[in-house]
Amino acid sequence: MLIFTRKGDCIFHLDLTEKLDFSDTQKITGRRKLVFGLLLSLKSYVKMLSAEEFKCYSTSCYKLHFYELLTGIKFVLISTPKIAGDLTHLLKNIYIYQYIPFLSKNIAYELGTPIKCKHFRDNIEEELRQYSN
Amino acid sequence: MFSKSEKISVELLSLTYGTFVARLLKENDNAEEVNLQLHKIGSNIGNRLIDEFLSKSRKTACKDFREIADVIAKYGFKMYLGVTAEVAKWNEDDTQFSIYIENNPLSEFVMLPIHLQQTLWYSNLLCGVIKGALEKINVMVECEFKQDTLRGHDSTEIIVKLVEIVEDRYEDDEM
Repeated sequence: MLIFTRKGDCIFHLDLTEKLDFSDTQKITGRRKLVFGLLLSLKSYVKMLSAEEFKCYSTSCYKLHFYELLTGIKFVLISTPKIAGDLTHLLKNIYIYQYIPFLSKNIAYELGTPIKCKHFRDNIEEELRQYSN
Repeated sequence: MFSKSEKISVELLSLTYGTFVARLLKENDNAEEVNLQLHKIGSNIGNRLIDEFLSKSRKTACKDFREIADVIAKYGFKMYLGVTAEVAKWNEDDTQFSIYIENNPLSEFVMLPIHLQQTLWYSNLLCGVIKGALEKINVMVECEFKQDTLRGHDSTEIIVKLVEIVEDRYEDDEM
């Protein structure tokens, strides 16, 4: 799962597959940029096609869920394609019950900087694990 | 929608705000400086408050500036101050309006000493909040007090002026 700011900075990156190597910063930043670029293109593409908002898409090997706020914060979740429907409601819940109380209302956290709050990370991990089982 | 949120008493709010302003006055040399400080603090509050506001009010993107004004006055003020405000005095091209607050809870029990009456905008925090909150949704405004009952005016009036609505821009960088 990833969280982006309006400008495209990745402020949160959580990998539950444990396949990503976070020490290889170049590869990780490259990957983040790719995801963000993909989202932008997809968003404008979907906008051309219909009035509906872009929520998720799936391929044979993964499914990507997307939830964007008016404030420009973007939540992205990549899951297995087996999950039915889109998980934007889950991302929305994370926003309301985790992001707002732990970050938005937390004066120790400066908006738009990488999220280091351990509590936030743990809660999200727990929530996502429930879905992956 | 408003009944679910946490509440504190008006007295607590206005007294806390009062000591807060008094403290700022002590720390700063002049009232203009305090006005700026209040504006800045408010703007930081607004930056954060907008997230909570959007999620609780379940508002989606506003069509135009008029709708934004309505949401601020009817929902914003109601949610955070417990009063509703009136929107009036639109200019011709819909880029400026005034907000009238009838019973500003911040200025309850407050009387300004005479030497501050012409300089201090006591509730300037509110302007900051409006500016800060709108800034986060890409609407740039200027916001200032025009009248305040604390200064002996008939009403409390805040002027909000639209500067621009920014479109998202992304810059390429080398990979």
